[in-house]
Parts: sequence; structure tokens; C-alpha cells
Amino acid sequence: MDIQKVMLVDDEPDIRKIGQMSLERVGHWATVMATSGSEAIELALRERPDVILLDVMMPGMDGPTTFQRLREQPSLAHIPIIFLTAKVQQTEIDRYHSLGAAGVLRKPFDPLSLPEEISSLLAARP
Amino acid sequence: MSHAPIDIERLFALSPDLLCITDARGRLLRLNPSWEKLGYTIDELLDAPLEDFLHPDDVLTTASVFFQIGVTMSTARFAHRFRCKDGSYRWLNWHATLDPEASCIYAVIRESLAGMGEQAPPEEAERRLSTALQTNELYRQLFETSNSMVAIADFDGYFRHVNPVWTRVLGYSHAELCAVPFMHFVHPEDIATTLAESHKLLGNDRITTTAFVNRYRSKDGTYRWLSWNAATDPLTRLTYAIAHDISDLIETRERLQHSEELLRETSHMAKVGGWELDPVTLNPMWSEEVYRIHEVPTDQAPTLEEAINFFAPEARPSFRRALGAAITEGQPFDLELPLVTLGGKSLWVRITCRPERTVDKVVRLRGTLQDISEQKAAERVKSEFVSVVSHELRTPLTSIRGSLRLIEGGKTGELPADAMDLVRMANSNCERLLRLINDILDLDKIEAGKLRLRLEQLELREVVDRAVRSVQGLATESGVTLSIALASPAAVEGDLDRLVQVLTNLLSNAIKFSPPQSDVHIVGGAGREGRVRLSVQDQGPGIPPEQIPRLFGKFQQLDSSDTRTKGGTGLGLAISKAIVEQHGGEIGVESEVGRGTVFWFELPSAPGAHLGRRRTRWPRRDTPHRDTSR
Repeated sequence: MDIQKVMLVDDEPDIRKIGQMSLERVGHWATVMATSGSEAIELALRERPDVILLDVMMPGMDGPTTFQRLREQPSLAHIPIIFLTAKVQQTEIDRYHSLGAAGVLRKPFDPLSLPEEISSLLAARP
Repeated sequence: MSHAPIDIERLFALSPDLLCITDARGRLLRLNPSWEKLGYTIDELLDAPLEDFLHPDDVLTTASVFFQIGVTMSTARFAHRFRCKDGSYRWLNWHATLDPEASCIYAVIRESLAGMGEQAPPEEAERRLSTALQTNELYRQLFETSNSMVAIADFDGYFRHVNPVWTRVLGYSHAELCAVPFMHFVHPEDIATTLAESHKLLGNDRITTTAFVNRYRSKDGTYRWLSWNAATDPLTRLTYAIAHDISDLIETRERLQHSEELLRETSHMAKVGGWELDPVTLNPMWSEEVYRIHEVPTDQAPTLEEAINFFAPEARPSFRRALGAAITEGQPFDLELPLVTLGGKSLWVRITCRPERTVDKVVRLRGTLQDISEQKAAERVKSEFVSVVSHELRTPLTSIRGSLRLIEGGKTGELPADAMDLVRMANSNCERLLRLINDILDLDKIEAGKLRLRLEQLELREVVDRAVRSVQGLATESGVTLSIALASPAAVEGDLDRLVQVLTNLLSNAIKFSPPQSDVHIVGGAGREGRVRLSVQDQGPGIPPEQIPRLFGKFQQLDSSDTRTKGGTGLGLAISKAIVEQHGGEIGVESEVGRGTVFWFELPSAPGAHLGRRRTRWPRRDTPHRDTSR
């Protein structure tokens, strides 16, 4: 799958900044940064990213809810979504998988290998 | 010296005692005039069989005494009731001696002093006793050799005779036992019941028997429990008793009762009960505590279906599956399930089962049921705490580590060399902090029993390759060479990620403690008892023997400076041990100071392993949520 543009959804500005640098400078992709779930939906409709990195714990609309909302948009339903989480409990991880996520990446991620991991997750999709 | 001629006939005629000569069967051949005291003329008595005049109850005993005298050719003393002419009875005490040549018996008979009425006087009873004992060797032997405590007591409350077992059990001599009233030996608390039993015996004019239990004081001051069977003969005024020392039995019963009580109490405190199921009838049996946990009255025994329906609906299928496998295949289980009591209270219970089986079938299921609601609540709080703390630590670490990595990777431009050194140092400390967080989370899982293995059939080489890949960088940096020797293909059933974690931990320890230009050997092959063994051998400084026992403990590092110089968390071996043991394996170490160390672990080989065919028990994701921090 050819990736041009990646959207990162996270309420933490620091993490958005590191993620953005990683995606742009290591992955050499265009990026779209969203600070909340609702902003993510709005931006996704407009920007049509190839893949969405979605934080789980966010105030207001959390990751899984945002995931459902994105899926409800017919024009966005096909976009692969990868969860980013600092949670480590297996049951949590399993739950994100069962929602239909393309993958789950744990925080803290290594910005030098993040783009490669995104690519391999997407390549592994049926 | 001369003697005046003695007129024996005259003596015979004058004797106030009753004198007679009988034949061997008791027929009265000669009688002196004293017999007329009984109301008969001598002629009326002569040639008459003795038994014609005896009380019906005494005919048989008298006949047997005569028979005994004939057989043993001896003298006998005995008593019986003789019917007078007026129909009343008198007690006659006989002293009879056989004349073997003439085949006749000479007897001196004295009328008993208190011989009126139905009771024989004490001296007569004694005589009768000695007669009985003398004339019946068989009974005497029985008395003397019995293993039971046999006693004969009189109505005055004294033992008249006890057999040797009494001395053996209580320590008193025969004389000591007979010297004081037997009540003297009875435990104060048992005197009332013993008296009541005695009165039952004595207050009756028929032969009466009774059975009871009391305590007797032995010579050393301790008490023995005796179980009594006693019978009284009002005619002889004697009590015949057999006692058994049941102290051991009582003590065992008391111990059993006590341990039952203890079990009941402790099981209540621990909220653990027991259950049993017959795999044929499928009737469950619950212990008291299981009833209590279910809030079911103990008289309402549940059916299996009713018992299962106490589990919350979502828990029933998994319980049925486990129970089915236990009944048909004898598989044990250990489940934590939600349960709703009869009163509607929601609980968490842990139910375990250990099937008991013969070669070909399961004969019984036994298990425990424990109310773990409180533990569950505490676990939830702790888990939430750990999860929140770990989340809160990971978020800032993501920024710190991310920034450092981007700088280190040159994504923000070139840095002066010394600045780069500092960034690397900060970065490696970040890694360490992350490892510590991960280890603490692992340990929390292990301690909460929540370490769930994803078992699959694995080839040992897979584990080795992955672990070697993850430590190759460290080895190269340290100038250590890794060599691998795997004897033959070996399959184990295990959790790949977890086994890699164990081997990685052993390898990184070995590398850290190895001098530069040394080797770390990884050896795989057959272990003990059909197990598969992996070992990691280094040429490091070795471990002093006294430090080996605490190696696998938590936060154990041989030297506190290791934490700084070697970068470990002190949890690796504790976690490795828990992982290996959860696989049913064993972990260990052999070391010699100055020679190096071998850490090894052994795992059960995969049952019916067919190499190359991967059997996955749990769904496994090939692209797992990989923890990039490891």
C-alpha cells in the first residue's frame, strides 16, 4: 500500500510534535495533526489521509468512539486505523483489535522506527 | 498313747450340720437326723434324687457341680436352694468330697445364716464364685487369659475378682483394685452415671444387663475410658462385667472432631468450601461453607443443574465445558467465575476440581469453591492503580524518549560529539526506566496470577533465534561472541514471546557479566525426564555459592552497583522463574567463582510433537502489538 498522507490524532501536543517529526522526517510522509476525536473526523473528511494513528485516551471523544464515528462515514470507512496506546493490558489490546483496527502500537513508540512499523502493519493486512 | 474307740455313727447322729453320703449323681444314700430340720422324715429323703428337692433354677448348676466333682475327683463348695416340706426354700451350702474308690460323695451341708428368702449371703456368693472358678477350668482360663478387662463385683460395691488385664491397663495390683469400693476409681464427672447404671442393675430381681461408658483413674493419675458390659445375678448378688479400654478410640474421635471443627472454622474464615460430584449419578455434594457461600440452607441439597445455574449466565458455558472435560477425560480445572447467590448477591468465586481416576475412568470429582469477591475487588483496585501509573509514566516517557531518539537519529541536525554522548546516556536511561516499568507490570501480572500463556507448539530454534537477534547488538558492543549448539530438533509447548523473554534475559545477563573477547554458549537439547533443556553458559566471574539461593528473588542483584553498571532492574530472574514454572518447567543455575556460570531451564516436551506442524491453541496474531520499548 502506498502511503502519502498520515493523520495523527492525539491530545498531547508533545506527542503530536514527536509523531509529526517522525512521520515527516523518517517516513517522509505528509501529515495531518488532530487534537481531538471530533477534529479528527472533520479533518479526515477534508484531507482524506491514507492511514490514521489514533490515540486511545483522549478527553471528550475517546479513541474507540472516534474509531466508530470514522467508520460510520462511508467515505472514510476504508481508511486503515492504527491505535496508539500507553495501556498494556492484554484485554485492552485485544479489544482494539476486535473493533477492526489495522493494528495497535504501544507508547512510548520509537520515532526512528515508527514509520517502518506502520508500513509493515499495513502490508500485513489481507 | 491309747484312744477310746470313736463312735463315728454317734458323731454322725449328733452333728448340727446336715451330713450326707450321695452317689456320684447326687442320690441321697445316707442322711443324719439334722435333715429333719427341713420338715422331712429321713425316709422321705432316702434314695431320692437330690434334684427333686431343689429350686428349679438351681437344678442344672447342682448337676453340673456333681458332674465336675466326678470328673476332677476333687472337693467342691457350692450352694443351692432346697425345698422344705412346707414348700419354702432354704439356702444350703455344700462342702462335698468324692471318695473315688466307693464312687460316692461325702458332704457336709450347713444351712446359710441369712439363708431365708431369695438372696444368697456374701460368703455364699464367694463360695459360689470360687466353686465356679475351681470347677470350670475352661472358664477360669478364659477369665485369666481374656484380652478384655473382666471383673466380678459384689453388691457392696467392691471388686471381688479382676483378671490380669486390669493391672495392665490401670497399673493397680489385684489387691489394690479389690481393697476399695470400685467407685473410688471412677472419674468424678462419671460417678453419677455409673451409680445410675449400677442401680439399674441392682434394683431388679431378674438378671439384668447394661452397657455404658465411664472413666477410670489409673495408678499414674491419668484416666482411661472404659466401655462396660455388665450383668447382675441377684441370686448370687454378683455383678459380672467386661470392660474395654477405649481411650485411644475416644482420643481419636476427639481429635477427629477437633480437626473437623478446625476445618469448618478455617474454611469459614477463608471462605473456602469443598464439593464432590459422582460422575455417574451426577449428584453434587456440598460442604457447609459451600452452602453458606451460595446462601442456600444446608437441608436444600441442589441438583447439578441447580448448582450450575448459580453461576452468572455468561459463566455457565465455560463451567460446563470444564466440568465435561473433568468427567470424561479427568482434566482438572481452576476457574474464577461470577456467581449469584440464592439471596441475589453477586460474588466472584474460584472453583477448582481435581478428578480422581482409576486406569480407565473417572470415579469421583472433588474440588474447592472459594468466595474471592474481596480479593477480586482488591485486585481490580491494584490493577487499575498499576495501569494508571504505567500509563501516566509512559506518556511523558514517550515525549522524552521520542525527542532523544530523534536527536540521536540526526533528525534535528548534527550535534557536537559530547552533546551526542549526553543524549545517548539520557536515552539509555530512558530505556532502563521503561524496562523497569515493563518488569513491574509483568510481576504484577504474575503475582495476581494473571500471566496468561498463549501456548503453541514451538521449535526450540525459534526461541533461540529470536532471543539471539534481540541481544546481538549488546553482544557486539561488549565484544562477546554468541555460539549456538542445538542437539536435535526439539519441540516444546510454550508461549513464544514469553520464552524469548526468558532466554533474552539470561543472555543479556551472561553478556553483561562476560569479559570482552569471551564466548557465551547457548546449548539446547534433551533435559531430565524427557524434558527439553536450554542453557546459557558464560565465562564471567561466577557467583559465590552463598548468593545463589537468592538469585531468583525480587530486586536481587548480587552487587548493588550492578544496577548502575549493568543496567538491570533486578526483576529479570524472578520473572523468568515465574514464566518457566508456569510452563511446568524448572529454572536453575550452576556456577563456580572464577570459572563462569550456567543458567538453564527445562520445559516439558510438546505432547506427541510433530515437528513442522504448528498447532495453535489460542488465536495468535502474527502482527502483534509489539512493544517497541523491548
